[in-house]
Amino acid sequence: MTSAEPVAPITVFLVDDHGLFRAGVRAELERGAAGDPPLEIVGEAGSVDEAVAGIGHLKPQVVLLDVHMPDGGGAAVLARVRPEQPDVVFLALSVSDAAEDVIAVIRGGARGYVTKTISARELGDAVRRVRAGDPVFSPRLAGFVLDAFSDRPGAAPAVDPELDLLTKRERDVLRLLARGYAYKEIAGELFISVKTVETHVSSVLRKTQLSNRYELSRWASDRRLV
Amino acid sequence: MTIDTSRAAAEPASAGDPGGPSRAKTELRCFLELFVLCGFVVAQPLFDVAGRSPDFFLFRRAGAADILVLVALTVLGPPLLLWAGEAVVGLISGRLRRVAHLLAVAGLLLLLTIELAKNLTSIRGWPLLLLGVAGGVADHLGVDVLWVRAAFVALAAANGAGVIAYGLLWVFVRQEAADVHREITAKERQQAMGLAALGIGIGLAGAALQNQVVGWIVGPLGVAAVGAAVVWREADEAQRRRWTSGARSGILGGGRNAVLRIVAGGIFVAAGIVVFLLGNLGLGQLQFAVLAVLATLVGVGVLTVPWWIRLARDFGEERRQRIVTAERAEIAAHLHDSVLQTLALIQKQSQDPREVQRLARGQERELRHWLYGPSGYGRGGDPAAVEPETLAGALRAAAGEIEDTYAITVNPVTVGDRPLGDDGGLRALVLAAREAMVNAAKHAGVDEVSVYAEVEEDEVNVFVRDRGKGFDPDAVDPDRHGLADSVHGRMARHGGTVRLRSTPGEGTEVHLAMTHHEQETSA
Repeated sequence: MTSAEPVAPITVFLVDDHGLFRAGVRAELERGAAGDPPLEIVGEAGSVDEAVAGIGHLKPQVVLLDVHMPDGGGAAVLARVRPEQPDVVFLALSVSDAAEDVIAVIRGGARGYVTKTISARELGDAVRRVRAGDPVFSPRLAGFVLDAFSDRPGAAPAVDPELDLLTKRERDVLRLLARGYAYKEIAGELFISVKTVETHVSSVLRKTQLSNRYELSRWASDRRLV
Repeated sequence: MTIDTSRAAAEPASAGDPGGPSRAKTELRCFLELFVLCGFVVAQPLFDVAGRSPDFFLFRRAGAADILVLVALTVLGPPLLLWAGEAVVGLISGRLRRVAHLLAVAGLLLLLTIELAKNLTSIRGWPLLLLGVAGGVADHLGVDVLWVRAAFVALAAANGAGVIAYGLLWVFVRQEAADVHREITAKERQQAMGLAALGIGIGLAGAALQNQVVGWIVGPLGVAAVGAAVVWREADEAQRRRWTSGARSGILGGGRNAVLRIVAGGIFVAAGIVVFLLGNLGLGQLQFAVLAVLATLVGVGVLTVPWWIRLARDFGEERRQRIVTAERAEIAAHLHDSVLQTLALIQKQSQDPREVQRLARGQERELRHWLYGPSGYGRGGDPAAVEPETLAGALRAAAGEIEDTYAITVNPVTVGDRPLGDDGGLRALVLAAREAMVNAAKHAGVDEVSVYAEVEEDEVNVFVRDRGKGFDPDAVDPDRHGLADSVHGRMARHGGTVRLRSTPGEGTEVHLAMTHHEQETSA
């Protein structure tokens, strides 16, 4: 249901090699919930090549990207589209819970990662949030990132503290994300504004993407993506 | 001639080393030189490659012992082989042995230089063909082919190091399939062959002029080397034909021509060795027979080097294929036993959403564990292996039980991990967390519960959270044993703490904390 407000819908492009899954997501997102800003599915693709061509042609605002596909999967789409169209925002959507997969697409440039079991409502929210420029961290992704940045005895010292270490505040925010808190709840818990929470999460996302920490680069290279 | 003295020097070494510590010291020094150089030239790059492609070990399911053996072979094998070769040469003449050692060191140094240049220029892949070696090296160094060839020739003139380096590169550097790289024209190849022959010639002539003794030794050996090269080249051709035709021909595959070439090469080698033996040694019949047998063995070994190498490679490839096939069968069997059965059950139960949810979630969990678990399929581990009991594993298992029993979704996220240990502290923590999950499942009225565990250096924190009804902790009926006994009591007995936060309408969060310190003293 599109509401009566004159808000332009967010254009979304679906990339997944399972036609059945695409159809399901399309139905869920287009149905939407009353009152939410509408989403418009402008196109779908079932392979890397189709996705690159479709995204180039249709110029969607948000791409929902499957991680596992033949010919390189989501990482390949990211690698080919991002240099050409830096404005397109990617949200990875996968059944995989493996750290390699999650970290690989995040480092490839995706602004969020959610698993396919996410409810339609939450998926819609996630799309809107990445569109607005905020990262989407599922609890599991938050756990992986915490794990990667944790200071284990014997770990290599940080090369670039700016990128290789999390601040205490960022750590707190990540912990609450991993515990399943929403941004608003985190803001309440830490007595900071939602905007500040978003800033912290964005900073964590940037560090996750750019840091040279061994754990992150190892997870990424396990999927042949550095 | 030097023969008498050198034999005198060689014999003690073979007869129990009465030559004393200086002899042993020299041997040790020779070996160490080879060891260090081989370490740089052979072992280090191999480890580099192995480190970058763990697939190799994954495919073979290699354990720590296998890897250790491989490492030992890689580190010790090449220098031991070279050293043994030198020792055999040393049986004939001490001077020859020194020459052999110098050659080996020179060759290794050259390889090291190339290796360094490769690393510095960060060019990957070795698109080298027989007699395209110079071209390949030139590609790497980014210089004109002619310069590299000239360098090979120059090096060849210097005691034949260039020839050895060229040969070593050709034998040990893996070829790529023909379609991978650029065409090497016949003209180029001829040019290279001519230059190589020129190099060998210059090397031999130079050596013969400089020193007659060296000439005597190197001359026949040079003939033998040419013979070996002819045979090796044949093996190389056979390999290439195999790529182009796709047919699996044997070592001698390639018809009469190939046999002729191999026989010719063999004769070259044999002739070279015989001439060398006859020319250099005034031997008695018995000694000559023994040495001839040894020389033949060495000759056969030398001739078959490329076959051994390629045989090992092909064998590895076939083994890989077999393993891949076996893996496929295993996946199919697993999917049949688990996923298909569950789907059948789901179809039967389709009128009961709760049961469908339970089945689907249980199957998902099982498959996920099989794929991505610590010893899971996707990790290259053996899914059937028994894992050590860890906190993360125990929490996962507890979450699974709750999911099965109450048909809800429990998502455990763990950061860090540690073994459960024997003293019961962490076990109590897991049981308390399980009880908290049960409470959430029973009373909160939600279909999803978040579980988060973080293992820190001195403390483990577990949070169990739901967004359900919530309750007023102060108004809890003291008869409710779940919270009082299972959670509070259990944690308190092991020195842990429980914090409970619940707001009616917003949900409940149970925070369980257990310090490690407690366990270590009691353990």
